[in-house]
Amino acid sequence: MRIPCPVCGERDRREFYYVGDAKIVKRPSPDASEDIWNDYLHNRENPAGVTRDLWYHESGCNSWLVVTRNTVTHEVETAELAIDLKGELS
Amino acid sequence: MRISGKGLINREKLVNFKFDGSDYKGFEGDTVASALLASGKKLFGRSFKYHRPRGVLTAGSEEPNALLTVGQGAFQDPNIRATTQEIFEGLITKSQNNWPNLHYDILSANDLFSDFLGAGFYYKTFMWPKSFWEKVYEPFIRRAAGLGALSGLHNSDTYEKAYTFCDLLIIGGGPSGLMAAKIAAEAGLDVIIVEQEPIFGGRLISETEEVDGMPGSVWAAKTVKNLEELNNVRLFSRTTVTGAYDQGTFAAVERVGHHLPKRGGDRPLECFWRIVAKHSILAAGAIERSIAFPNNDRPGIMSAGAVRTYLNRFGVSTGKSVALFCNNNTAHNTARDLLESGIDVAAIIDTREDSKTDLNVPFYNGAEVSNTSGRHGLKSIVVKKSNTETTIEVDCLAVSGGWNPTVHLTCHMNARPVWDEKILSFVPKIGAIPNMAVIGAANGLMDTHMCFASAEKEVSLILKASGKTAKSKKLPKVEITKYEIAPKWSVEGKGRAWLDYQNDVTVKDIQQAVRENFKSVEHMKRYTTQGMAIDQGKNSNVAALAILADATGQGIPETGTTTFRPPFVPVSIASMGKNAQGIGFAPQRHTTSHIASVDRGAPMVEAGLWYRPSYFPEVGETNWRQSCDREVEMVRSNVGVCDVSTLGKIDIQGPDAHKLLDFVYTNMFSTLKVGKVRYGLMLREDGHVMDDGTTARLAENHYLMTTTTAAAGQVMRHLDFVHQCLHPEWDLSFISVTEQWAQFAIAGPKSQELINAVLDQPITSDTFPFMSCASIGVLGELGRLFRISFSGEHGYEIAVPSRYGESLFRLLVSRAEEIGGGPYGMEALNVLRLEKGFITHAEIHGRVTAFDLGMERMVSKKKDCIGKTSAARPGLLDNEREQLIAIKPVGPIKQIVAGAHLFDLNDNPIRQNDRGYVTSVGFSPTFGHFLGLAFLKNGHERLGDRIKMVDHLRGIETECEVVNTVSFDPKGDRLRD
Amino acid sequence: MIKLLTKSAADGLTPIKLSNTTIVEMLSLNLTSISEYKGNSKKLSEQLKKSHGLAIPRKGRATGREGARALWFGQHTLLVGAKPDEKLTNFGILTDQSDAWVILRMSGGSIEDVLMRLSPIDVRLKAFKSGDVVRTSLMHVNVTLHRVGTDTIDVYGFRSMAKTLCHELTQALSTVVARH
Repeated sequence: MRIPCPVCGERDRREFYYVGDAKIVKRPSPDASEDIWNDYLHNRENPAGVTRDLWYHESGCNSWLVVTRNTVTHEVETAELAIDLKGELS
Repeated sequence: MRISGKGLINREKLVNFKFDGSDYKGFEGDTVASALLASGKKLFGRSFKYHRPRGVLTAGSEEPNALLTVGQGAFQDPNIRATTQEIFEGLITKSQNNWPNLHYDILSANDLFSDFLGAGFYYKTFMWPKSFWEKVYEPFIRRAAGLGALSGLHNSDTYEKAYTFCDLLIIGGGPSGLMAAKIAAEAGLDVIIVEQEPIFGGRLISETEEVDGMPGSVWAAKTVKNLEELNNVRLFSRTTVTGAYDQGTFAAVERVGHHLPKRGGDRPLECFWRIVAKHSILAAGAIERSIAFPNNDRPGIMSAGAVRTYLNRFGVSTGKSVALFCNNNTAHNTARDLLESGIDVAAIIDTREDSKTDLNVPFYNGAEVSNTSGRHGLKSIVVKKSNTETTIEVDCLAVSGGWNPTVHLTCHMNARPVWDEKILSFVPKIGAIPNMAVIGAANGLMDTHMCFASAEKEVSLILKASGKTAKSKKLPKVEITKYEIAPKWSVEGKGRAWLDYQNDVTVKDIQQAVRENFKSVEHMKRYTTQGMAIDQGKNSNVAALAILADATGQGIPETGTTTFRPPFVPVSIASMGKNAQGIGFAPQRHTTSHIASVDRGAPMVEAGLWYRPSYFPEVGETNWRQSCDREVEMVRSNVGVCDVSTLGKIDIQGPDAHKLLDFVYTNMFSTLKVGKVRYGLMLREDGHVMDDGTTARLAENHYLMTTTTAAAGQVMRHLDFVHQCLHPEWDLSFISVTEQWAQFAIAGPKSQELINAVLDQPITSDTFPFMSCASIGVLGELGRLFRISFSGEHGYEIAVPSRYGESLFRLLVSRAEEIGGGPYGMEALNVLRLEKGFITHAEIHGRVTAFDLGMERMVSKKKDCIGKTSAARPGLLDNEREQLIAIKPVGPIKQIVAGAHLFDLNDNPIRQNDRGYVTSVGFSPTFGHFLGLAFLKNGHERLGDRIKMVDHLRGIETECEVVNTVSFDPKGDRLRD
Repeated sequence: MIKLLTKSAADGLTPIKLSNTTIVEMLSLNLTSISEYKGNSKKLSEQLKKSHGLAIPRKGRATGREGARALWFGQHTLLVGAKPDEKLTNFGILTDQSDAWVILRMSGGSIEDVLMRLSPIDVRLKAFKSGDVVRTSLMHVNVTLHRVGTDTIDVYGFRSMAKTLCHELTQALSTVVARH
């Protein structure tokens, strides 16, 4: 698997650290409801198809990336810098 | 038998080698198979289950029968195909799966009981009694099964792994691949072409077809020579692409040293390549399949294409008198080549009613081979036409049941091949692998002109996509031939008709599987083991599917194929495991004091990737406990020096640095005064403890965070996450300075005396009280000093740039020794912190909260922080949770063991009564007994209670008292003194 | 007065010389990590030019020459060789990293063959040109590679891993040499 790091270019997956669902970049406010926090902490989609997850370019530029890829075709559509998204996922 | 004047072997160079202890000769360029066939050898090995005598079937990597053990001792490689092993001077080979020898194999008795040993025999038989599983059945099956074996000795061969990149990867160096490489390379693409044989050419070197008015092998050699002169094309021979993976990544195994005499040196035996290609072309050709007729497995019965390869590439006749049995026109060319070389062709048996031949040989159209004879080598065949049977004496039968395109790689990303009725074979699904084109025979195009044409077409598309144009579109001239085939999968008759030779699967086995309702192709495969041998069904799967389809009444396309998975050919674990053994298994991190510690005889212990001294033995000490006890007492009464450079150090600067610290730690750091240090607790967002450590404020906007050794990488990642994903607006920057600074703990009542010996300006407890920090001159160099303690003693940590680390360590140790102190290691450090109840990752192991540690008051109410909301969940504040306490022994048994579990005194020590567990243990010389840190349900309420500790593994049961975690100096006077 | 003695990261481990390729440790270089305060990248770049005659390098590049270089270093810029001008602190955050990195200079005919056996990137000159900087892994070690010239590549690795780095490079080099 290869990930197109916006900073370093396309790189081998060995250089990356995988986290999971990119939703964790949208942290709820401390006074948000229990349900919202529960969802943020524990609930994850497991789609057969397009998914967005967080990767950390640990052996590269140390950027956190939001990678959009397809779990069925293994196609990697985009990789965006999390710092540019400012907590907003479209 | 050698045919003079034929073959691409070097007749000038004779090569001596051994097979089963006897001496043989061949020529440079021979494989073991071709050299042995030239010597008249027919019998090469025994089959897996029935130990049937078997000969060579093919001339390539798909060979199921002629498997050898190559080399000896530690360098012995089992299951090497005789058809791919090149001979070299001194090569030693052995046949497999026979005892006492290849000709008289005791277990061939299995063959007599084949009626009982059919498909599913093991599943049905070795079921009961249960007590027989381990003692009787398993050893029996293990002894009877298995082909070659490893020596069990350590192998010192070198392997390689490598990465490379290209615009275009061409898989297969036959006519299609070479043509594609020529056009692409001339147009300027960065090309890699891979061929599994030692020489390029594919079928061109096995056949006699002319290309551009010259023999095909000459055209191939000329094309290769031209390619070698270009610097934008790399030619990999003896290399097999074994798998197609995501985003244009391919795996390939290059056999670097298998054809060369010397083993075990620096020269790699194999290289495991990862090739990343923008585009790829599969030009892997096709593999000939057999026809399942009765007794079709005798040595001397071979694929027609292989007979042709041995003749044209190796100059070897595979028999004195050869017959051909086929359902297509390609085999007729084999007959033609044999005749031209003066070899007797006894008959051509073509199953097609309307087939013709212009060759002057006995010709049987609409006929079939219905039986054969000859146990250790073919003697005769029976030809059946209409109802007449004719026996013909031959010692070689060349069989062709058609050609299967080598579709394997196109299926590695989940695609299934498509049935093509015209060629009676599966062809690749279009677009099966992104950016891969399939050309030539691999795409079902069975004549050379179409191979060239498809190469030109697909390369043109790739060139267009790459903004390049072909230099010339002219294709080499070849005679246009048409591939003609009619279905013929099996012949009925008395005697077993074999499909999978290596695993001894017959037509009857497939039919039996269907009768027993293993009708799906994947079930049939597992029930019969069809296609599960080393060749993975390359020779037999399609025929087996056709027979399955016939037995179930479904069509072949509806029946479908089993799953094609990497690797295409067997790959040695050693090549994939390169660098994952011995010293290359993981990086070693050494502190600046490493050599000084080793010099003093300190055993080094791994802490993550770091190596740290366990203890520093002195003369007369015979076990580690003596050294550890002495070092603990030394620190408590005098002074000790310990390298703590392995702790993570993160330099955090910027106007918003304090915001980051307040957010990642539970407690406040914005209120920390410049020149002070504070202990901090870091949570994960789910409310559990991630890490702890001290952070110093060096200047208004400058902090220095320390992490534990184990969590340094995790914390760095976490800080990057918080900054980049959650708060990119903060103006700050942080960087690891772990490697920049060598840092030493100096602990004990005499620590101030020792530290002042190396400081440019001496300090006092008044000028530098507990939890102070400063940049400070250390023997003229700029260092840092922190008054912190992990031992409970008056202590410091002193840091200098790493280049001075070893020098400062040696100096501190020698000064300490002058005043009765010395170095201490991890064992003593552990005991010292246990006496003080300080935690490490043994305690903060990922499932504990600040509440569990009794540190809930460290979660500031004045601000938000990571993990704060979650930590407040009722379930994480329940008194029935396991809470951190310490235990000490109070009964006759004095031992406490880490990992042991805690029970109430009167409870039966079973899981249901479990009250907690011990995380850290040490013998405290200060108190004269063991001390343990443990998690105990409702532990904070149970101080003074008696419980029992049970180690079920070692059978130790110790009565303990629950005590406060801080055993030593609970008020902390010694720290602050 | 007693003086502290210095010891380099790869002390005693280099030079490594095999066939046409050598690996030597670069000694006693000033290394300073620099990152700008928010909104100050232009000013920092100007100051760097004034102080050291260097531009802030683009992603994946190095500026300057032997003695004073600036390398793109992921989240930071690494000033190599020059002692940093105090004035830079007006616009950026500076951290001394002189002792944090071991720098191994590989030169000779086999450097690409060696690195392609250790790093999952395209190290050939056409993809990794003179003046290019890549951050990647070398086996299990994170490294920064700087192509100084056609036949010269500097490998920056953690100081504590100097021995492992030298081991990996030596092993790969010896297999490459043994092939020929």
